[in-house]
This record gives sequence, C-alpha cells and structure tokens, in this order.
Amino acid sequence: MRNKIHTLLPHILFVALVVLILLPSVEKTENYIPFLIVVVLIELGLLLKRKSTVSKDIGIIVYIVLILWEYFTAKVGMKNAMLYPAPENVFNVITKDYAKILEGVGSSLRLLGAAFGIALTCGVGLGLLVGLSDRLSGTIMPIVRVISPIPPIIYSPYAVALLPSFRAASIFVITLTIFWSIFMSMVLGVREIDKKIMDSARTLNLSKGSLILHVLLPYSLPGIFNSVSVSVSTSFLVLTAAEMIGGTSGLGWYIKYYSDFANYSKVVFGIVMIGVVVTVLNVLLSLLRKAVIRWK
Amino acid sequence: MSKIEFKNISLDYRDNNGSVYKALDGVNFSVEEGEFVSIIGSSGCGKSTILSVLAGLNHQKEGSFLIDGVETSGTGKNRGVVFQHYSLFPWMTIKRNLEFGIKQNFPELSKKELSEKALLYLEKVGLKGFEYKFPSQLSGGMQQRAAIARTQAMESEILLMDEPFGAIDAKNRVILQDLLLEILDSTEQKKTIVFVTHDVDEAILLSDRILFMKDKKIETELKVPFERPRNRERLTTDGAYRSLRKEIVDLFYYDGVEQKNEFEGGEGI
Repeated sequence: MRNKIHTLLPHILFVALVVLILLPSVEKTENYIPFLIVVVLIELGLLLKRKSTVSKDIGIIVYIVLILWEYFTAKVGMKNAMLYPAPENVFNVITKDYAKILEGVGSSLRLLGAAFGIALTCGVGLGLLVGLSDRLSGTIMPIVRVISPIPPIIYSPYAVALLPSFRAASIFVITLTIFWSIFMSMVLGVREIDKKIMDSARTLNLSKGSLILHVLLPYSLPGIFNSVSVSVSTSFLVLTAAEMIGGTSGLGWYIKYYSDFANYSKVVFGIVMIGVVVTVLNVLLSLLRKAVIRWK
Repeated sequence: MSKIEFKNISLDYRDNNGSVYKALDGVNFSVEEGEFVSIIGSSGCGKSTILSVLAGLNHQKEGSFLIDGVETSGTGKNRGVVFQHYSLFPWMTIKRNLEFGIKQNFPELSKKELSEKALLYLEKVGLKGFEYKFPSQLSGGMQQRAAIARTQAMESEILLMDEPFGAIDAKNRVILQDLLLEILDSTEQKKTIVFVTHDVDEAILLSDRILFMKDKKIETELKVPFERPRNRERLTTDGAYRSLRKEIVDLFYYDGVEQKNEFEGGEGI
C-alpha cells in the first residue's frame, strides 16, 4: 500500500499542479503555456525513469516546490509581486527574449570553450614536458605549489588592465582556473605511473613518441577527466562573475543587466538557464568519459 | 657459445630510505640456445632481479651480461617478457595489445597483417572470442594467456617470465603450465626461456635445468633429465621426479629455517 502511494504520488502531484496552473490567476500573470510545457517535460522525464526510487523522490520534491511557487505567486498573489515573479512569467521569458538568451548562452559557451581549449592544450603539453624530466619537475613543481592555490579570480582586475580586451581577460582568468588541475594531474600521471606498466612498456622498446601517445596519455586520461569535471562548475562560477563585472553579453551579464531594471522574471529565468547549461555540460562530459575510457 | 651468459654480475639496490642492499652478489650462469632454465628460491633471494637485468630494466654494477657473445644492456627486440601483473596495457583491448606489441618488432606489417597475426596467436592460447575485451574484463589466467600470446607473436628468441602464474589459482595454474608446454613443444624454432618461480613442481615440469638461488647468489644447479614432451601425471609418479623434488624442497627447507628473509615479497627490484 505504502509502495503504491509512493509510486503514484509524483503523478498525483503532477495532475494537481496542472489543475492549479489552469485555474484562474491573479492579474499580470502571463501566458502559462511555456510553464506548462516545462512541467510536462519533467513528467515525461519521470515516466522514462519510473523504475528508479530516487527519481520518484526527486519528482515529489520538485512538484511540491513548483506547486508552492505557483500557488503563492500566481494564485494568491504576493504583496511584492515584482520581487517574486510567478513561474508563468519566468518561463514566458523564453518566448519574448528567445534571441538574447540564445546569444547569451552562445557567448558564455564560446568563452568557456576557448578557455578549456587553451587549458587542455597547455596543461597536457606542459604537464608532459615537466613530468618527463626529473630536473624540470624538481624545479617547477615547488614553484607551482606556491602559485596554483592563488584563486585565479584575484587576477581579474590586473588582467583587465593588462590585456587588450575584456574578452581576452575573461578567457585568461577562466583558463587559469582550469589549467592548474589539468597540469597537475598530467604531471602526476607521468611521474607516478605504475612501475609495472612502465616496465612492460620498456620491454616493448617503445619510441618516445609511442610511449607518450600510447602509454602516458591513456594512463593519465582518467585523472584529466576528473580535473575537467571538477573544473566545469568552478569555471562557470568565474565565467558568470566575470560577465557580471564587465561583460556585454553572456548569461552572467543578462542576469546583472535585468536586475538593474528590476525585471526579476528575467533574472530568475537566467539563473534557471545557468543551471540547465551546467547540467547539460556535465551530462555531455560523463557521456564522453564513458565513450573514451572504456577500460574501467 | 651460449645464448645467454652472466659473468660475475653484482647489483646494489637502494630502498626508499636510502639504505643500500646487495641485490645480486657475483652471479654466474649461462643458458644454451633453446634451453628452458628456471630460477627458483625464496622471496628476496634475487631471482626477480636476475630477470630484470636479463630484460634490460636493470643494469649490473659489476660483471658482464652477454647475449650471443655480445655485451648487452637495455631492453631489446630479441627478448620478450611476461610479468606476474600488468604485462598488458589496461586501456587496450586484448587484440590491440597484441597488435601494438607485434608492431614494435615488425613495423613493416600492414594493419591487416597485424590483425591476422594477433588473431592467430590469440587462437593458439584459446582466447578466440575475447579479442575485443579489455584486460580488466578477463580473469588473471586469461590475461596471462594473452601476455604469452603477445610474446609468441612478437617472435623474440628469448622469453623471460617472472612468476607468470604466481597469482593464478591452483587449478588454472596447472592448465596454464600445460598450455605453455604445448606451445613450446609445437613451435619449430625452440625458444630460449628463463622462468622465475617459487613453485618446485612447476620448475621441474617445465625446465631443462633449475638454478637454485640463495643470498643473492646461485647456490645449486640441477639438471632435469626427463624426456619431452612431458606428461604431468606420468612424471609425478616417477621415482626420479620425486627424488629431484625432495632434493629441491630440502634446499628450500635449509634456506628458509636458518634465516628470515630481509624483504618479504621483494619482487620488484
């Protein structure tokens, strides 16, 4: 019996939420269709994952939050309606601000992509170089241990002054946030490779190039993937902070811009979008990891 | 001229604390072409160190190491090695591991030829159908089969094996020993093999000669006079087998009781 209720509860809450949305709302509540679509998408997701207990629990929490949000803002009406936008208004932003949002996401992703590209190339390349030489790693690593813990965002005012454009400065700061952990895991991968694997590689008489490409890189790959996964969230933090401080596009800029106009529907929508983008990136990354690291 | 010669080879070993131990102390022996020689002894006696010098992973401090009469140091294509663990790369499928190894010794082969050769040797060790598995998806015994297949496919004249069946359960160890015997008997070009083990029965079953090591030196040399092809069951009921076995076990017994080993399990020198 309890089991049955647990299974049905998310769906009962879904129906309740839909009915609630369809009931008449207070004045100034906008088109409810986008919000309804989002709710239906959530329900479809739950139906797809109906076998897992966790997804039921998550569904219950999400629906309760949405029902409360919908009830207090769109149905009862808050005293300070501007500060507490109804979900209808928040999700309706997509229909009005479609182009700007897309451009913002694109701009943020381009910055992030550039930073990851530079950080990966330099981190792996320099990591190999330093890791392969006893003398280099003996000299460089103590220096790195001093520099790497400095939070990169600290450099941003100086970077803005030093570099030609704000874009270049943001890329520099974001690159630094990701670079160190990739560099460190590459150096570690090369320095602390399992002696047995190294012996096996040596008995095959590999050339230096082959050793790097077929042994050291694959051995370090899981560590690099870990660094990148951890970096995605931190780099987004730095990215949006940079956009809020001095950007002219991007999601961080979007949120800052509209909060200056007290348009909190757009602010909340921007926040939701950041959550969506980070989640999508993380999911893509874990799919890529599964495809590349098949041996674990 | 012997295939392999060790002349008065000594080697020091420095542990993590910086203390220096003798790892080999004036080791002398030779191995003839096509001969199967086992090195046997308790842990820490230096048997794995001998193998690492033979493989070119370690360099002696004194003495000379000759292959075909030529002073040798470093690794070389004429030697293939099977270790107890991690002979294969975990990130390559079994077939790719073989292809990669073969390619190092035969760079002129095309992709197709590499693939055919890899498949041929995998089939010989009974791994058909497992080509596209990663080592971690196979049992320890199957991993060792693949490692043996790789050294066979690479066609090195000398095969070095460092306790290859040491981590395999008793039942599968017997199967692998028989497989190794079968492979060795079936190849026309007889390989020269140095095999490190601490298993007395394994050493007798497989070798032509057994070197017993104690205190970083070779203490005793024993001939194994049995005809090939050998049959495990016939052998174990043979009186000569049992007296040889007793002789070796006695060597172990007097070695083991008198003194405690300095570094237990110190195989990785």
